[in-house]
Amino acid sequence: MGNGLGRLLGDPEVWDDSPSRPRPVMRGLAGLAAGAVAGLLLAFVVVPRPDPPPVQVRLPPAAEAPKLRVERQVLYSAGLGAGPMLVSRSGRLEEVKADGTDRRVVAQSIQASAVVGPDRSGVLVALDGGVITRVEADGAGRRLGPAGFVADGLAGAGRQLLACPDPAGQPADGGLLLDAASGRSRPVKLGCPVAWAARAGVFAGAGGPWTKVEGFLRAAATPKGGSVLVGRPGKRPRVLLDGRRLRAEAGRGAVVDGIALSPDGKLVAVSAGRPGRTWSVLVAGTDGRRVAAIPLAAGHRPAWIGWSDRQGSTTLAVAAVDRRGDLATAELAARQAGGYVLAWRPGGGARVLASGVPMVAADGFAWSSDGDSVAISSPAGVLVVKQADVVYTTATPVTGTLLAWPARARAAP
Amino acid sequence: MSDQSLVDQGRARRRLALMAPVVAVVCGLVVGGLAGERVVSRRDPAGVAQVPEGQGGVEGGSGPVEQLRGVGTLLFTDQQGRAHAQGADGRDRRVLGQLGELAAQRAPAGADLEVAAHLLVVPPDDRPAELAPDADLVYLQTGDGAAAVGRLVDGSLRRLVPAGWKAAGPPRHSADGSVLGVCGYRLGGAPVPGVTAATSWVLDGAGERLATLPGCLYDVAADGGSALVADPAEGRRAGPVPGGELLRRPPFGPSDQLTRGLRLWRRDGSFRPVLGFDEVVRVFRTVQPGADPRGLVIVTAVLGPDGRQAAVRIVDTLADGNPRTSPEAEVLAVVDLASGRAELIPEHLPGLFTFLPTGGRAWTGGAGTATYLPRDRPPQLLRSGIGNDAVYALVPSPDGAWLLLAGGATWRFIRADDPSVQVSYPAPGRLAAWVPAAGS
Repeated sequence: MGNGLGRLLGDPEVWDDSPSRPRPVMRGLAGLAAGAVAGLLLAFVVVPRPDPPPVQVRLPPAAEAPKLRVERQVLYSAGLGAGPMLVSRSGRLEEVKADGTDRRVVAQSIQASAVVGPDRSGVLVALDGGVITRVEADGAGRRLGPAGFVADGLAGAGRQLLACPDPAGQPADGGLLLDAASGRSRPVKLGCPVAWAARAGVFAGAGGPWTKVEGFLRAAATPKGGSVLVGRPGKRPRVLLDGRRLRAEAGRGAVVDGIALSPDGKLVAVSAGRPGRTWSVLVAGTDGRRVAAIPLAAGHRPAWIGWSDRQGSTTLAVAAVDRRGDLATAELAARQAGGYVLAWRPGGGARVLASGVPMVAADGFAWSSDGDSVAISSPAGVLVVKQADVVYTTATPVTGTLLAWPARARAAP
Repeated sequence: MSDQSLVDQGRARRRLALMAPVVAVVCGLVVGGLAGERVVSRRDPAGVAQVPEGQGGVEGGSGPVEQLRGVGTLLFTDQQGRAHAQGADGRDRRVLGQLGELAAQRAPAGADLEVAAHLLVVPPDDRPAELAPDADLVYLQTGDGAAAVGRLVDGSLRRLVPAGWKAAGPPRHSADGSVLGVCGYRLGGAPVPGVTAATSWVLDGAGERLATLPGCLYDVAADGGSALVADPAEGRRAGPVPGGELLRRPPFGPSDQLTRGLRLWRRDGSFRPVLGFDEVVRVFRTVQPGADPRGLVIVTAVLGPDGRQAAVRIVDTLADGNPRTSPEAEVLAVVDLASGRAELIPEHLPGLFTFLPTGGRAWTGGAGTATYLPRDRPPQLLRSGIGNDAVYALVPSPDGAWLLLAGGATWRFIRADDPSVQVSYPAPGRLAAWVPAAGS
């Protein structure tokens, strides 16, 4: 320890002072790796970036609200037994098959609210803004009835017509029986609504007492009848449901809002009630016997009642629409609420044929001529329901306000 | 080998060791540079930013599933008896626990013989079990027909029906599970059995009985303060339901225990009539004018979220025939509990029904439609043509913004305020509940 030199650790015999081995392969690989990394970094730094591509946004498939489906098979089946539908569209009277094909303009510049016909020769009669117009097969029109008569309702079969007056400026019970061919008319003491049995010479209409009732039209009271009369052409109508019976069956203050006669003329359906109260559809025989009373859901009022014309049986359809609150006086086509269509068979019970969405703004209803289907038009389109099984319900491509679904296509001009 | 040759050989190797790294670095620079240039200058070949569709946490779905993110938690069970939770968008699935009773099982033995019980009570939907928002309590019906409450944490199961009684479905319960209600029944009579006794029990969360009531219990209010039960006075007024020997339906015996009207049981022990038999007949006759009142019974009643309304299903026990083509034999109605007035929900073959927390209501119908009626707005079509989807539950999201049509194979989510927005994905199991997300 005294000589001041350090002492190397370990044994002298294991010291190795030979030069390191060159290992060219290892050095080459290490160099390659280092070069690659350096080149990569250098490239990231010096290589210019390309311009970003324009971004294209691919949206999911256009979504649309669910709709009732068009079931081609059901449409085909519904169209077999019936002719084309008569619809009012864009100021024209048109006919179109249930599947949307063969659309044809029957008459231009006509705002039909009701039609009778067409007959075998293709002639029909339409109610157009209070005017009763005979429309020939070639589309030509001719006014029927007295010049000053303004109609509010029209019914009939063949060449026999019954028109009821618009009570504004006319007697409420100043109805007219008209001949569709000659245009001759004679008065009948009936008011709106009116009905005609398709296969029997029987008609019906509203009678007095007449009272002005609020709640049908906005800011106006409407004269409404308090009884129902039935008659035959050439005979004086007789009272079927007097005011007392009507009130007893449909409630205090009940008035008549709709009438339908079964095709054989044996049954009369009368929608009766008062705005803001409960409405019912009373069914009676034309001999006066009571058959049934169909109460409607609270707040609902009939928009249409109609009998099917089916061989061997008949069914009454009642279209009830929500009329609560501001809906009471809304036009059918503007009414934003639901409703339902009930099919009732004498002695056979009832079923709901349609309800909910298809009844929003529903403005036209008709039985098919074979009595198999009911059609309902609304701004969403025309819905067809097979009476036999509600599962067979289909939307159609038809647009417009449905007026009728008669038996045959009109003869081409 | 001489010393000189050894020296030359070492020198060459040292030169090689010097040159190789240099060459390698140069080669590396070239290779790395080229690779880097390609990476940097590469552009998206499509150049498309795609809005995701159906690619959330689930496979095989369709629609903007990302819109379901944060819309509560779905609780469901599988065939092995496990309970699961997952976000409505299919993410964050986890197993909650297992109860043997949750395993897929066949209907209780003799179920086909208990037609009479279905005239007493029909559960609001076909969920085999319901899970509480705490993802622990399970409300179910055991294989032998007892209503029971289980716990997933410890696998325990508590039967709520005394021995000798059967329940027609899982127990009804308050939102927090602190009040439970069970409807029990007994069958008897010959040759065709009918309901000879119907009794209900209201229990607290610990299983202590709060009340024993005559007739069937249909629902417990969300706050546990009241329950919707049969009104025996209306039953006495309407008289017994006659037995049925019908052509197209199994026979059932007569019973004076079936439900003809409803009353509200309150936790202070008082009762309040809410639906009389006259109103039951009136509303049924709006779709079936000639219905025989003797056969009309209430089989389902569900309280609305605000406790002021109830949805009821009224059945004509005497109706026979093919439901699709025969006269209507069932009616759905919404009852205003304050006035006792029933409002018809017109629908052919009414199916499932639910109230939404937002005040609307939704239901399905026999023509394959699902309808949503918002408060003070016209009805909207949610779906058409779902007749074959085997939908067994119609459930709103906790916030009421979505409706779930839970089918056996597919779950379809529909935005209530915009039915064009629909999301569907394969059903991960049997739905048990749609509850608020934890912490929300």
